[in-house]
Amino acid sequence: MTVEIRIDPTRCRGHAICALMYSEGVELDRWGYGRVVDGTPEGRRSIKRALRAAAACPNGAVVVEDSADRRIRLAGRGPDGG
Amino acid sequence: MIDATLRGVRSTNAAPVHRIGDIGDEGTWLLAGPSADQGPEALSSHLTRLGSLRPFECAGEYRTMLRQSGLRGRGGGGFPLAAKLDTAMLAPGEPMVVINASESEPASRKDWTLSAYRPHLVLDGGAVIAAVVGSSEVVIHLHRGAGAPVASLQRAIAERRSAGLPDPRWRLSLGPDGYVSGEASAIVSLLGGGEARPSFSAVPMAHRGPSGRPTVVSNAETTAHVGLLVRTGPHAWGAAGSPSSPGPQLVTLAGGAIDPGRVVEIAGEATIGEVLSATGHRQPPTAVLVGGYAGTWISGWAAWNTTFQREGLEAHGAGPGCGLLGVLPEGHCGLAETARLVGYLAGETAGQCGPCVQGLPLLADGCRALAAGTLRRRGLRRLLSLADVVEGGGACRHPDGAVRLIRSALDGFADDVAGHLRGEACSGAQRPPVFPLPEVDPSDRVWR
Amino acid sequence: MLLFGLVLGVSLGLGYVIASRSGSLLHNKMLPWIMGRTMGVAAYLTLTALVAAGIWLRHPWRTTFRVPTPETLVRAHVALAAATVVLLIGHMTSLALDKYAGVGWSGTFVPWHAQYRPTAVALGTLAFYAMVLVAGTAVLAGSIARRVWFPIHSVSAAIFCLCVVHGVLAGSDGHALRWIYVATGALVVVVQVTRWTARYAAEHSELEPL
Ligand code: SF4
Ligand code: SF4
Repeated sequence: MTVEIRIDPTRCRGHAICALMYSEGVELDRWGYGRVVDGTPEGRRSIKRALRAAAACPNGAVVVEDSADRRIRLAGRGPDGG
Repeated sequence: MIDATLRGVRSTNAAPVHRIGDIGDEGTWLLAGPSADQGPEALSSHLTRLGSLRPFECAGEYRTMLRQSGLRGRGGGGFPLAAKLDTAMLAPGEPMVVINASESEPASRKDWTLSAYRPHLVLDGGAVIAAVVGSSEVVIHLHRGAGAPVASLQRAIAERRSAGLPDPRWRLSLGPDGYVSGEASAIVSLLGGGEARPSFSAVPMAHRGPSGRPTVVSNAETTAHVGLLVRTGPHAWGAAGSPSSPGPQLVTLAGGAIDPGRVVEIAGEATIGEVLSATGHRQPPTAVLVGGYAGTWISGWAAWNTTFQREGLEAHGAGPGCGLLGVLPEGHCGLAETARLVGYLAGETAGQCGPCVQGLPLLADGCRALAAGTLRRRGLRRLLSLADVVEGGGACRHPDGAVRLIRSALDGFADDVAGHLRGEACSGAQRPPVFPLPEVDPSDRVWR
Repeated sequence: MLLFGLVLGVSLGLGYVIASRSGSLLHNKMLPWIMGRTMGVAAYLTLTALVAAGIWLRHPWRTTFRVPTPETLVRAHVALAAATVVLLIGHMTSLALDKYAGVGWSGTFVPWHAQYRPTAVALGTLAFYAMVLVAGTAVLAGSIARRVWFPIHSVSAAIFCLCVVHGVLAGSDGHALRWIYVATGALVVVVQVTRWTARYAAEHSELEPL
């Protein structure tokens, strides 16, 4: 399975958790907002870390989707918050 | 108001025909028909001039025509319309069709002009798109403060109803006036009962918009082109452009242009110099601002022989965007204008994304300091690194546009930048600004 | 890891100096007692830094300073948390093992079971359990604790208060250390209050809070 991780900038409030959990693919900018630098985690460990980052972000700003079909959301909140 | 500045440079041996025309001029495409002083074109005149459409019977045929035409969105993104429609047709659910006539670009008037004077052409295009994607309703979105276009469209819809045209249901939607509120995803989120702020999704809206339905948003000019090209045929229509941007196009003159707010149509290829001389300019200005307020500065001399088309502008890192052609007259300070524009853009953030909210005001401060001559080399370096951080940090392209404007200013006005950094007095900065900004009171800002 | 070692070393050293300077170690050369005291003070210091770093991380003023970068700050926050937990466990075991301290195992883990100042010790016990909750959910954030770790994190305010009171009341040298309690308490209160006010100001200036 190939997955893709993205950060919704309209939701991110700079809690910096994503950068702790998925440190290989997320950087924080000078304000502490997360910015994805490697959006396609490879390997089981990395994918797992990405999924954890998505589940942990207090604002649900981190979204992990199946990159083959972006409608399949694996972790993170939807635009409606559900 | 209408002067016959039709520049028919017809050469004998099949070279492309250049035409730059005003509304009602001979040889124009979208703007052909009655002149502006006759107000919105009536349905009867529209139908005698162009003939009627049968959107439902001919949907398949129209779809092929749209695909052959290569029509690209005329709002800034420049995405091929046919591809958008294909995506929407393949996606589950009944597509939602939106005509964006809100034209948030403060100086642009082309969608305004079309909605106010050629409402039936715009509505025809909407009917065709709806028939192609199989949607029973078309939403026409305008800013609340739009004025004339609202009345004109309302009248046109009533006319069509009583004439019994085979139309989809029309719904006029009026939204808040802000700059980013006219962004496609903001409109759709407003229509879905949310706020008129851009939203973030990697799934194209044509596949699944914020409302959950596939959504096709095209602006008034794009839609009007649809209404036109299904009548003229895609080839004749496409020949009135260039291979990379087929079809005629509308340009709004702005800033220090002789007649700011004037909308002209370019059929065929035309250089910026030709457009400007057709509208009364005798020599290249200091610089031109291309594509919108979040556009690109090009120095006047370089621009003069550049075609106002995708491939010509790309050589200068610019794009036609919303079709704005702003003029910075001799003796005015491009850095001061840039600072004002960036300040305006900063005030127009939808206040959602960190880098946009935090970064744009700082960028605006930096530009103001540069314009005032108080910025030094170190400050400029900081400004540039800040621009790198801000770029791509938002859900919509708003911050990127501001960054592009700043970079092109630093590039295009490099000599002035050097002078300002040394703190030399700049006479241009004292002059009254040429690019008008809408009065915005942040406490009046509404998102619904 | 490096950060963790650094934090641990510095806090232990400081804890020892403070605990010995306050005089209470001179009368009792028992090793568990010395260790218990040292680690207690050290844990209190790391806790203060931990809480302050956590608040500062989301402080609107932070962006005016380039250092520490948010990345360093979160990493420091995590290292401080780990150090606090280790020191705390050391503090509790040493005092439970100390026959003369009057706390014992049951006094350490069951509130109000210590002979020595039962209420004061109980506050520390309660703070410990709360800390286990906060740290545990944070460690499990994203897996079991998903998003709930974040609301639970606000319990830390109560933990900090409990620890200050526990230190003042249970410490055999509360008087000698009073300036440390005042300074650390004031530090945390100041960052927290300014964060509230700055955020309130931001909310009322049309911009979204950080
Ligand atoms: S954890 Fe969430 S809120 Fe925090 S920086 Fe990452 S995306 Fe933003
Ligand atoms: S980038 Fe700026 S304008 Fe665009 S959605 Fe985010 S905050 Fe709003």
